[in-house]
Amino acid sequence: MSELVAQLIWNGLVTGALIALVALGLTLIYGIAGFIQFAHGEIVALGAYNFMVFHKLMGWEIIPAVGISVLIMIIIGLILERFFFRPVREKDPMIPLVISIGLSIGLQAIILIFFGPNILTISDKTHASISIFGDKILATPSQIIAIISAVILMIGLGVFLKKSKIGKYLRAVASNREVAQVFGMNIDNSMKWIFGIGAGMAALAGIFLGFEQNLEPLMGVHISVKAFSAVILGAVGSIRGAIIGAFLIGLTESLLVGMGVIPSGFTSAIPFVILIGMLLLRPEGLFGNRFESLRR
Amino acid sequence: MKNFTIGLILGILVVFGYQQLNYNPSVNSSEAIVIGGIAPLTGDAASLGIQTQEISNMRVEEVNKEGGINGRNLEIIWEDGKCTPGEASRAAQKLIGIDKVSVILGGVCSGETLGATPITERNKVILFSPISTSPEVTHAGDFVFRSAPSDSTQGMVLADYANKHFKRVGLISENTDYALGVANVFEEIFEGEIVREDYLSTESDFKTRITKLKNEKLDALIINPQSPPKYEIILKQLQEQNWKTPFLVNEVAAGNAESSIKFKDFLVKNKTVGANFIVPESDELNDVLQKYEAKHGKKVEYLNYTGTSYDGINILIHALSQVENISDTESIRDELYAIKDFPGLLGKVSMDENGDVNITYTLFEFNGEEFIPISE
Amino acid sequence: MIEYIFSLIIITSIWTLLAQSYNLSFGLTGLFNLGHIIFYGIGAYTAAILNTRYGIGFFPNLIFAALVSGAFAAFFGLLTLRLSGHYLAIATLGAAMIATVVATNWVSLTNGPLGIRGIEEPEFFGKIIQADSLEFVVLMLIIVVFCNFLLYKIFNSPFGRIQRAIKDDEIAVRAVGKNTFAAKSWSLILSAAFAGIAGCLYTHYRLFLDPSIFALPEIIILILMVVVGGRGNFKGAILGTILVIIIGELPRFIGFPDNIIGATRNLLFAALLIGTMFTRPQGLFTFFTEKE
Repeated sequence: MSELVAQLIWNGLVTGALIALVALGLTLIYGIAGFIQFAHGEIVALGAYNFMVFHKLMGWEIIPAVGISVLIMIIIGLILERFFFRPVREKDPMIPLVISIGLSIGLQAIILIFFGPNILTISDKTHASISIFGDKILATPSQIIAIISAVILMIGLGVFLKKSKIGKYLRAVASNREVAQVFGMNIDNSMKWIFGIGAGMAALAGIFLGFEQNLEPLMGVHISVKAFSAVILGAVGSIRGAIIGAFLIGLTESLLVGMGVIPSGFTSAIPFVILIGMLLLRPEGLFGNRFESLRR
Repeated sequence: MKNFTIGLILGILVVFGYQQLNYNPSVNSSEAIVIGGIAPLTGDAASLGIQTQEISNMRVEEVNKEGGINGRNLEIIWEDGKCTPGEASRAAQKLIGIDKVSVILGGVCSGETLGATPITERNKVILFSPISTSPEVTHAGDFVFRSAPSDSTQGMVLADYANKHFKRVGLISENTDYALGVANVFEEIFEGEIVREDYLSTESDFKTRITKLKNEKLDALIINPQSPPKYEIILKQLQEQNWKTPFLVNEVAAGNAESSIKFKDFLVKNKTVGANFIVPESDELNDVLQKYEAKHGKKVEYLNYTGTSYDGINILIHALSQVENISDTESIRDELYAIKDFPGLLGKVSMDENGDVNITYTLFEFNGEEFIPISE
Repeated sequence: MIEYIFSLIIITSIWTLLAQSYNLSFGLTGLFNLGHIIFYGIGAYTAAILNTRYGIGFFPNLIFAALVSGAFAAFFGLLTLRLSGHYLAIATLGAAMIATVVATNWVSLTNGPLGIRGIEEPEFFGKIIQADSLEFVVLMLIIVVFCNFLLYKIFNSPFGRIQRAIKDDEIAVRAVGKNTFAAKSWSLILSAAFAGIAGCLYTHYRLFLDPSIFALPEIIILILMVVVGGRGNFKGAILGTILVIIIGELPRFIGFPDNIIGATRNLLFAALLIGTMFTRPQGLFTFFTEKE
């Protein structure tokens, strides 16, 4: 494998891991609450800005700054759930969807008012890259950590949902809310869990993203629209589907553009071309087995 | 539907009546002279726009304290052009239609100037850009002027340097009027091979492009951004990929060493040369810099654009003071074309028949602290 | 000052037409199409390109914009209308993203990110109608009121009733033997044609066009206008548009600094959207009970 291809695959994996962290939260929320959370991207952006405040402005070390930012975003995720989504939970899924669109522009505006329109960086230091896999790939420490933690979180989430009591509970609610309710399961609790987990992972994705690029109020939108595609690509509600969808998008983007198959100007269209193409062939998603209309 | 029609007719009548009442042809000659201003006040290029705004306003305040233009105060209404042609054309439409200005100072980004031009030309409004350098501005119109040099010479000096030293270069260029102006002139004059990558102002991930360029076995890389934040993020990702060729940079990068200093070891090790124009040391320059620092509590960020903005507002004030009626834009235009050997910070400034000034670019090398002129 | 009011009336009328066209497919038929802005953009680009390249004036452009947008909608419908719910929403959102990318990269047609400039103002029997003039206001109002009248007829026709039934229960409509796919396609095509006209109005008013016309925030404003007025509520969409534009202009009057006007406006829009969803999800103007 040439160095070019190896490096492109690595870049694709990094992008894919970040998309996956965002997409997992989205797909979990869809599974339990039944709608796509449009403001999820703003949690990504807020996570990054939060980290910047603690790490760069207040001078905290990286690890405590990551901890506090993720914690804050989990709390914000729970607040959003409690005050914006819980009151409309039993209504037409269009309503929480439109509310999340409103939250999305509202949170963007708040970022803009607090941090100004200027482009900020997450840290003044640039970290030297490390050669891995026999000098074929140059990777920054934050990229390596991003991939490792994404993999750990994915496996951890899978184990959590399969083995733990709460995980089983969540899966039961996701597969059939009415039946779960009949059996006396507390839907409020499962909503709290998934919004918390989703927000935490999104915040982490935001911090890693901040190490890759500048901080800007719209940074969350750019990654969340890719995550939407990943979620739909793998069939909404499916964990495995979201992860595969995310890596598929990251890798095709990087390889097609990097090998010169597609001019780089078209990069941002790639996820959606894949998505629409796939929906024409399999309208239920890669791992879906039911039609969306039956699900509602 | 009947209600609609009645409402519509009533609305039109009210509007007609209001317009008749509001009609007021006499112009009070003791009122302030109001001109428009277009600059990026938000976004990536805001630092360029805000500095231009501050320097122009500073000069206007001084002039007003000294008695104004023929006894009338000068006032600038600023609109945010956001460094995009669309916002600038909206701003020009608003300034001309609503504020009724006959002179506009701006835009700052070349895209702003070119976006506003079709509207200012049709309304015979003077558009005077203190910063835009795109070669397209030269022939943009009869009422379009600038106090900044044209990029045709910037692309030329960069390409001449590249012709001497490199055979195969990479060109990473922002997709805006300004950067494309530089890139196109460079592409025309450079004799070797070029691997070109354009990016949009909204993008901020260049990893794939850099990986691709790295595989191309280049002798040098030309970095051609529209604004400093983009320059910094490109440098950061180049550094992470261990880039190892000399760099050629445009005047946005070379005009303000602050961004380059953040990457000084990397840039000096690889050798970085940039194009810019010289603002000669003078008492007047020091005076302007001191006044700016006293007023705003910070140093100017871009010395080169300080020169062109300061000269620009002065040339404009001079032209306005020569005409009797400031809505007579044809006279103002003729005054501007007649500018010859105007004493400015950039030397003796003269306007040519296209509304361009006689300033040229030279090469500078980054030494870790600042860009210093080199002779090639 | 009067010109400022003129400019507001012009902007409001363009948005009213756009919102009403969206109200047909999104409100009446219930297609959650996040790509409606594509039709507006295609209309705008059709007018801009025909005008700058072939010198075709404002009035013929109205027809061309409607035809091109409508034709594109027929194709767009074939690709997306088999989907429903969230799949439709995300696929159409993606289509809007693709539209931005195509408009940006197809430089020979659209002049890419640099945009098309030098578009001409409408000409009426040799007289140029300047932007923000009274004549322009009258011209806009006549066109927009006429289009709204046509839309009103569509809303209250048997065709409109089928659309409403599809929104309530598509499977039931299919069960009585109606071809819902064709009905939905026609709703989309008509809706796109009117959006194309709105795009043409915008082009000849703004005199500049670039790919930002497809931007995401525009679709959110559109959703806001329709949802605030009440989905499928004809008068509601008009009042919703006026309300949203007035609220959008508030920060300027209160005198917020330039750099946060945009943010304050979005904050107000967010509050309006969320507030409506909580208190009156059927729209703020439910007291206008439609005669059906």
